[in-house]
Amino acid sequence: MTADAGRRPQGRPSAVASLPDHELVIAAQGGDRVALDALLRRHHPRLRALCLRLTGDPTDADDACQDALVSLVRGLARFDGRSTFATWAYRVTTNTCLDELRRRRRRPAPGLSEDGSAMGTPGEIFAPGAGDDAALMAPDTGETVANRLDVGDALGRLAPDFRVAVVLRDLCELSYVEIAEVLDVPVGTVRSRIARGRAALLPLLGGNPPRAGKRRRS
Amino acid sequence: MRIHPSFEDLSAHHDGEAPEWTAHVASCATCRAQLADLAALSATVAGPIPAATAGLDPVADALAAYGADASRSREAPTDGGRKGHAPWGLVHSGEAPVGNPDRSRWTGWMTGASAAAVVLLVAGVLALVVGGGDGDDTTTALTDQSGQEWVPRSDSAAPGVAGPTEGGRAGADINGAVFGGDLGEIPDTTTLVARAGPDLRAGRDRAAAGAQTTTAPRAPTGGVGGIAPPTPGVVGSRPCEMQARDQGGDLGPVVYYASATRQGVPAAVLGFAPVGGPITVQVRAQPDCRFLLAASLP
Repeated sequence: MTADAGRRPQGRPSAVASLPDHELVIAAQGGDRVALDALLRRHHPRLRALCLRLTGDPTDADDACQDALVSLVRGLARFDGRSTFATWAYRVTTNTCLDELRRRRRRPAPGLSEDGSAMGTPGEIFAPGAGDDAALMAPDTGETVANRLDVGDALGRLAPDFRVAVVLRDLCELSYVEIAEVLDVPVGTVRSRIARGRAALLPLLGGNPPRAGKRRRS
Repeated sequence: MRIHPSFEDLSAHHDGEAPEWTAHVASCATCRAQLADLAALSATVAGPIPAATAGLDPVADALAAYGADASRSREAPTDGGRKGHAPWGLVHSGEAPVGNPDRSRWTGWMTGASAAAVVLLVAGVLALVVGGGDGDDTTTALTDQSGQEWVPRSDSAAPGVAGPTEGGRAGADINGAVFGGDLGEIPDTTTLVARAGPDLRAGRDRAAAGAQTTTAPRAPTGGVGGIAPPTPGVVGSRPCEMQARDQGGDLGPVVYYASATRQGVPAAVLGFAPVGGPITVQVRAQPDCRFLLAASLP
């Protein structure tokens, strides 16, 4: 018996389900459908949750999640193990959701930047460009503070780049380095996007608005 | 005089990414209050997630889309474990990379345009050869983007039966498969199963009854340009079916087909029923046969 064969799941779902990801990946890459099934089922709940938080709609989330699962199945042979399977799966799923958002051209409410300046006209899609990663906020922040939003609605008011960063951190519990890997951006950008996303979310969800953004003396 | 962290510093500290502020936070009530808000926010974002639609099994559907149905799991092949080995033939050269939909759409459009031109050319030639028809011809040849004909069985096709793109009558029998008509817009797998399910099961039952008296048809292979020649009694000439088979495994014979749209994209719906296995149904874009959606039925 080879080493690989010794590690390979033997077709019993209950036994396979207890194997770590990297062993399931190896088995699945070798054609073991039980292992692939177990691998996808292990990660599906979190991937669907990611889709739901990113798309904001259960039906869209289910569709995006299925597309992502298909992409994972398609691409598994090319997965080289340099990252964890979970990180790779999040990357594929995030890209699928962003594609879905772009395709359907979701149009968030017109917003204001953190300093109160207008960011666009109604119907315009706000996407931060290079050097401009200001988060979206609701147009009438005072009212939305009083009427606390559902988390999905609040996330929907963020530009996708900020939404993704916050969700990957708070929902998927990825480190900044892992998020940087998923999004293919520098760690400093991840840190900034998470902070600015949270700064926009806090008042929308009934929290206290953040203090001034820069370090201060007292 | 004290220096307070910026909000970004606090946010990073909340995530365990800025330990240098630990001492300050421990002694600063204002910063601790802000951290409490951040903790509450994180808990809200990570909070309860609504359950998926009951009855859906997206994992099985994703596997079924490529013929790797988990409910019929088999042992791994003996050469398992090799990195780079493409399992189940899932990876094919025409696959677009994830995150580059524009490119895939563009290439798909180009493919579609080419295929449409072929369809028009073949249709024109057929019209000249056959001499045209008045619409009541019960043996109207259905032509797909490859130019392959899909001919209704003369012993079962009802008057007026037409192909998916021609708005044929649902329930008709073409080449042994049940024609489900136009399913309209398919927003999700639930709708797909609801609309296609009854005819799919009828097609499966019919195929099962036929298999008792004849050898179960094998998936067609070979043919010119990768398209199998039409096989009597088997819907085997459809490029979308061939593409599904190329990407999948043992899908079984086609027992059902229909037309539909998926997010406005014209699509072919194909139902496969392997002997002893669950029915799978795939929605593929027309004319490029790009995979759009799949579902499995018990």
